[in-house]
Amino acid sequence: MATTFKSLTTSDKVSTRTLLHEAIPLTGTILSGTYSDNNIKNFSHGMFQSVYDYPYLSSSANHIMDITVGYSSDSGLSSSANTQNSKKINIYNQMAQVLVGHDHTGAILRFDQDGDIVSGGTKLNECFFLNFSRLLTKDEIKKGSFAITVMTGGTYAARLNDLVISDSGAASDYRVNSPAGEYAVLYPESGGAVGRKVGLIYYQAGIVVLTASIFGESNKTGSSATNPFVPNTGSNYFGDGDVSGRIETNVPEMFRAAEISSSCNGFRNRLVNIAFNNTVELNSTIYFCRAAHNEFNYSANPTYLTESKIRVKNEAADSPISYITTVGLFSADNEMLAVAKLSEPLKKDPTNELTLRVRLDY
Amino acid sequence: MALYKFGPNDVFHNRVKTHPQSEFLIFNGDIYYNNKTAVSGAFTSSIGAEQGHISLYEMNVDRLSGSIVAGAPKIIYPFITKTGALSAFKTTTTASFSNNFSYGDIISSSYPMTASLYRTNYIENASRKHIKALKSALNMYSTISTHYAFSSSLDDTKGGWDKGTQALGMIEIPSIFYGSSIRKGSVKLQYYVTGTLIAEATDKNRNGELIQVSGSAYAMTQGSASVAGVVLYNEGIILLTGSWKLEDSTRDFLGDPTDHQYAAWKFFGASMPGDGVGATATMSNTISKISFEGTNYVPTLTLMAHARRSEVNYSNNPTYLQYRTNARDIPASGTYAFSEQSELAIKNVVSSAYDFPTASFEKVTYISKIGIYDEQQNLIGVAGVATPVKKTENRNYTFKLKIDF
Repeated sequence: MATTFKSLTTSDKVSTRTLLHEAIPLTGTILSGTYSDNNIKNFSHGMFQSVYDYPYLSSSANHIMDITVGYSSDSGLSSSANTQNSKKINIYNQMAQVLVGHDHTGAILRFDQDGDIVSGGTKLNECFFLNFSRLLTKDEIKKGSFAITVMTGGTYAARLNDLVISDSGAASDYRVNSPAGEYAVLYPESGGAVGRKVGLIYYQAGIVVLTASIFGESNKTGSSATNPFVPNTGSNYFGDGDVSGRIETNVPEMFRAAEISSSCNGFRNRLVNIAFNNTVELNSTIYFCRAAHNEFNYSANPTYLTESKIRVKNEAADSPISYITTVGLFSADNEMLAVAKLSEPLKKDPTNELTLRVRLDY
Repeated sequence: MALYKFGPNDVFHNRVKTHPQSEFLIFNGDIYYNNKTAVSGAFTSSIGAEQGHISLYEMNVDRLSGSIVAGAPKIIYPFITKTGALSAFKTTTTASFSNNFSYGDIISSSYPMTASLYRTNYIENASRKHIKALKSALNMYSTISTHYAFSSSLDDTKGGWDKGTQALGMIEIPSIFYGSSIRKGSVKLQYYVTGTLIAEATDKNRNGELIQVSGSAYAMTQGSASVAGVVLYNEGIILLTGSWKLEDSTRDFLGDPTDHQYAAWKFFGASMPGDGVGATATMSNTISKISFEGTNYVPTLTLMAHARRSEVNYSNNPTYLQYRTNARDIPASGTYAFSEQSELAIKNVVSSAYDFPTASFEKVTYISKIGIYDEQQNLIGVAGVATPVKKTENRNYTFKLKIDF
């Protein structure tokens, strides 16, 4: 145990923040197919669908995301005759009030296509919501790392036309006017729809909002010329065929006549891939413990003495030598707070000076 | 909403002492943890972690690295960017960090991080830096039992020992299985051949000595009540030195078909990960079983939140007030002001047997949540009660809140 204490000055302490990331790939087959939907949990309230990375009855399963759909009461799709109409509006409002907030009258703001709420502009009135688990997003999704691939064309049974949507450029171009933190606009990466704004990603909340219009509005063959997201040939149907006996349905029809879980099934069925990086902030304080040339050259270790003489000194003029094995951090009241160990003892004598960098993570 | 400060008798720091049980069974190159076999998934033969292992973050369930199977989910992995903070993964060596990565480079690691038992077999006079590293710890514990001593001339039937040279087996138990330390008196080693218990050793004296307590007549003749090894409870290490025969036939305990050995405690757990023995024909009817309990501490914070008589009798909930139909009772707001009537009637919710007259007015609230705030009045925790608790002016309540860490 050392008997020498040295006070740390402000220049000996520095706080740092390190960002640790994880690459999270979510292949589409997890969400549809691989586990025969045994990893998909529907609830009696019917308001969202939970997705696990393994059949959820297994203790090994991790919750990875919730999927739900909703539309604004201002949407053209909204009608009291719709299936789960109030639930779809409630879902939209619930997400919007948390992610977008309220205006000065207390009314819930709608999702804005470009995030510029003040100047109005196009609103996202019919949306898919992907709410990722905190297990995956950790502190936040890394800006500029999110990409989702969905098949926007073809039929439910034979899907086609991969559309890659990402938050490209969001590392330096993101919005801060949300009560839920920072968010950015999602853009298609290729095809005729490049540059269009198709959704929003909320980084700290771990929520992705996608406009339903990427799947086209018509169920008529070859009628998608007005929709750049859907191929202009063949049949383009979104639905899973459980609406009023129809075999195939388009997105508006699903939003109107099908339950939320059916639209979620349709979305999962068309999902090819999701990939993003998460972020964990590691806060550290670094203490620079400096041993000057004339310090810490002696030890209070009992083995430092032999026959009441310093073991390493044969004559009075010999230089003292010690080996530093441990650094103790003490409070102002001399209470030991932390101990740092060296991987191997460091030789210390009057001919050298050492700076030991002690990092405390929390 | 009222704010009250916790008093000195309202905050209690405790810790719960728990004893998680673990049991490992080693059979011919396979290891089983708590009798669980590998669960095969759609893409991997063992989801989560390898059989007998425990996964730290439990990520990568049924995932494959690379794209071996079409549609298989890829691996989740951590990465860090090299910056001036000089942070890196523990598996990145200092030399590699300095030489192989420039500032701005990505340093990646991998999941899952798993742990299981690990055995190292030392034949006589073999090099053993890991055993020598334990010398100080072993000698420190020699006050508990002389069998801990690194070397001794203790006059027993073996004529003393030197752990620096003698043949021994070291079994390492990662702390994720036990917590702070292995519980004294809970360690049990059992050696079976064709389902029959041949020998059993326990630390029945709770002093780290693994004593052979039962077994076949042959094994008990050879070493009944003898010390087969020692347990380092805090370090999670079992050192087995017992060299007497447990059965009168030889087996491939060294992973060398030309050098079969008699069963002995020093070979206990052979074919465990790390010792390189693997599955062999002569080991196929033997089982080694290790069971122990850990000691794990769970710090808990208990808070007593008081709702005393004549306190917490008002609510900011809008429904606490009578429904206001009169226009002058409704708050008025404009560009510069927001004004509310100074006198608003509280709704009387006291139950009455009749619609009219109503019961006498009494202030009644229903407590549904208790918020915990720090010194700066940041909300740091919320406790909800299962059903709202009715609070009248003459009722005294104390809510006990407990948080585990």
